[in-house]
Amino acid sequence: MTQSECDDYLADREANPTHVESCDACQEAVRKLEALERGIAKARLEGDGAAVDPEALPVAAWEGASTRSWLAVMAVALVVAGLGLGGFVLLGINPIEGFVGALSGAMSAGHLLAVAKSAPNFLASAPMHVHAMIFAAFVLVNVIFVILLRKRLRGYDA
Amino acid sequence: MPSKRKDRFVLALVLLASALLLLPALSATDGSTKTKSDDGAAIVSVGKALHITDPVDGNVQSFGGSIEIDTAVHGDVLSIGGDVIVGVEGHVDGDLVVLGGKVTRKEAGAVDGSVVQPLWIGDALRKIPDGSDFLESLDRRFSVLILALKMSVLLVWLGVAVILALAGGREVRSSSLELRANPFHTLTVGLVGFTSFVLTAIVFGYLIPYFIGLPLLIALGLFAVVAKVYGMVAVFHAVGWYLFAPKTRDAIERRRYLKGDLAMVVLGLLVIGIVRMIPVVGGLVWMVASLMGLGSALATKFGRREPWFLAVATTRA
Repeated sequence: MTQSECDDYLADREANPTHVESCDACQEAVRKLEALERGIAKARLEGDGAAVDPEALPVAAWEGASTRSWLAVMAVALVVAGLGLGGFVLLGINPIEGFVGALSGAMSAGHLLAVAKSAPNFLASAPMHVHAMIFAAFVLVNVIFVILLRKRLRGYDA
Repeated sequence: MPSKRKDRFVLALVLLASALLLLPALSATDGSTKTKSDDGAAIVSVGKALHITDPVDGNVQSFGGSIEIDTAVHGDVLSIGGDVIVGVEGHVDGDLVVLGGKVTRKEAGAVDGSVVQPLWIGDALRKIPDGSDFLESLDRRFSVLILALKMSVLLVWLGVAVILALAGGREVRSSSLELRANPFHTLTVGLVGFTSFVLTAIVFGYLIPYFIGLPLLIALGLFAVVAKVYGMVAVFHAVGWYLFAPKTRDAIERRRYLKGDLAMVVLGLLVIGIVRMIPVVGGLVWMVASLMGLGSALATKFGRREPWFLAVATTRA
């Protein structure tokens, strides 16, 4: 028996029916194949033919998500603008000036820069152990941060 | 490492980090005051109350201590985490910037430049003509003025939320889902992330004299703002989904308006905005929502659900 004869038989058992009678290796291979096929047939799920009802499945997060409800946006905008600008009108304040004033509460770039530039002064005045604490806490907190960010998300698997 | 042991390990690290952060506050060290810094600040104080009685040529900067001014300061005054009192004899030629503190001006106490208190709602009133007349109403628990000011800011949040929901609805929904599925984890990530940003900003402060510090601070600030804004929109979506989302397919079919990511975001924004009006509780709710939003933005990598750090596993041939 040559390897090529065994290969030919295993490739097409029906074309070379007499080979297996004289080849022990191929007999063994065929026995294993048949056992595997029986195992697969046994493991195959026997359905009762009824299809899975998709309506019975829970609603997925993306179902209906693409709807753009502009009416809801306008309604909320009316409520928020009404309460905000209406409040200014009630107090006798020009609503536009009140709105602009409310938004300009943030620091100007110049003041932000001044605060940032004062940082080296404060750091230079701090005692030595504060510097050590800052660096130790920086390393520790960022290690914890990285550990937390590596944690597997739940989300869809929940 | 098994999950429970890892959680205990992380908890131990968090407690250790908290202890390290609290130590400087608990230690019995007095603050320090320095005169003449490199950038011309005449007085720099850390952790000490300052009482200025002699005229000062230059800026005055204080961190973690109050400032009482009873003379002329020929420069700017900056206070972080402390109150400022400008006495009757006091006078500030430049700007007065106070972060996290109160400003009290005695009768004749004058400030020639701007008085800036960005973390105080009354600062906005100074920018409105005749707005200062309403400053007293801010002491009340509830006032129409506080409602109007907060709703004005909420209107801007509405615009930003709509833009984000339209541009990245899937990402916002993904972050919102993680928030709802794992609220404790997102809050923890938000808390640790915020602490990390603050500490990183302080460390970048050391680099300011070497020019690289300021660009790094600006980049960090921008990243933090983007994360916070995106995170808040995810929180709006989560709240809106809990309260208003259709829970069955029939409901999805029947509804015309109260469905979709956009509707959930704006409705959630309205609910949180109204809760924010409640004195004390409202501020707390907004703060927790901000932390959870920041956590969900960072945990989900802005909704993309990709790992920040790739773990490379090798396999044997």
